[in-house]
Amino acid sequence: MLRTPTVSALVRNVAVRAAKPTMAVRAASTMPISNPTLANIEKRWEQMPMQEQAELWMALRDRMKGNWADLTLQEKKAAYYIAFGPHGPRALPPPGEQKKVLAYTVAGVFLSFVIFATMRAFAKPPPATMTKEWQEATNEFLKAQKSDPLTGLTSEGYNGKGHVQSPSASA
Amino acid sequence: MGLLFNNLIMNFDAPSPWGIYFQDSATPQMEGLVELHDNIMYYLVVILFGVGWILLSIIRNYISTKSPISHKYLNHGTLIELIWTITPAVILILIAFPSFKLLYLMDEVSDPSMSVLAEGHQWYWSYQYPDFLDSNDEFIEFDSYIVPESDLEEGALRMLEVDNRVILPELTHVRFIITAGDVIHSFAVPSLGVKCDAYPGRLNQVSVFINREGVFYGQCSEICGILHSSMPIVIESVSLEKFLTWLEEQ
Repeated sequence: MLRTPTVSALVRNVAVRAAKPTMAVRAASTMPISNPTLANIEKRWEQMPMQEQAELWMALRDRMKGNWADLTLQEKKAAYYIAFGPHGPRALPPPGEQKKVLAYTVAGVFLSFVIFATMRAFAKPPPATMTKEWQEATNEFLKAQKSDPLTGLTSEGYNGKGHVQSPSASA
Repeated sequence: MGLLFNNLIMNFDAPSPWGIYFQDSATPQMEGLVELHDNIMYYLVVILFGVGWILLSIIRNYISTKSPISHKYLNHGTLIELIWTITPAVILILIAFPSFKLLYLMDEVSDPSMSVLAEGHQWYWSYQYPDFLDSNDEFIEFDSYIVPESDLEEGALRMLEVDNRVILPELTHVRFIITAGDVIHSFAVPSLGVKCDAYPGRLNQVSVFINREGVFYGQCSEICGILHSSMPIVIESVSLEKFLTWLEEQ
């Protein structure tokens, strides 16, 4: 609360007016704020004009300068709601928002997939080396060169697939 | 476990399908690089789990349903700030020291027995052995072009094979002098732990001591134009006798 520039400015104005010598200087107020002013503040707060919001908050702040145990339950609730309640930047998202975000995300991913699949459909076929037969020959070729003697193809006890990763050309 | 890991995730002198670890090292430099990588990974795993645990426990303990009042006025804590400043600094020092040590060791060109000049061109490498003369009393030199897919010998590596390989003797200190004729290229052979930019009008040098026989594949590693991917490097390390025979044939 009271973080937005307009509200802060209003509060400053109220504070400046309060500090003028012609007006009584506000101090810790001993008079509780009336219940009707504070009733249902959760429902009314966001519709209240800024000026009113600022004045109510200043009144509550004056009350809070005194002993908090003297605050009425309504005042405590209102002060908590104004300071920490779900309004302004803490407002709860409208119902169904999560589903909407999920739906748009899924739609975006799906669209990317469609674009990818379309481009892929026009691509050249994989090179002739991407067949099981060629890759088996690659293994032999590399063995003849004594490739990878430490941990790879020609190492002791090696039983991996080597370069074989594609299906057979006849498949 | 290590054996299983190595058998599942293969390490090659040449790149391997779905490879996620280094190719087998063939020089002391590359062994140093692999070891540095493994040491740094240790710190990374500790950091990953440490930060992950902190993050998860904050989310779990301070979730809005559990702790409705945000700790918005808690914005300073000297002890915790000291901890989270000094700890990363110590970790960085632990990483930096071995890293610099290796860097300067790799920079050292130790009394080479022979030199090879590698010159990058759009888009092939040309090599010169300035210590040896051929039958015409000229320096041994040749160009090394990619072998196109249609001309590959059965089973040869596509986009990696060249028509003229660089032949080097094993267990010999070799100095590569690296330059370029047109644009910037980069001479890189992973299993030798070599990656050195090739600049026109400038000579860079790296030292290589290949400790086994084998064929080592590399690629240009600085975008140098449309066929940047088509100027591979192949270095064949052979015994000294075979190398001398090869020299005789030139």
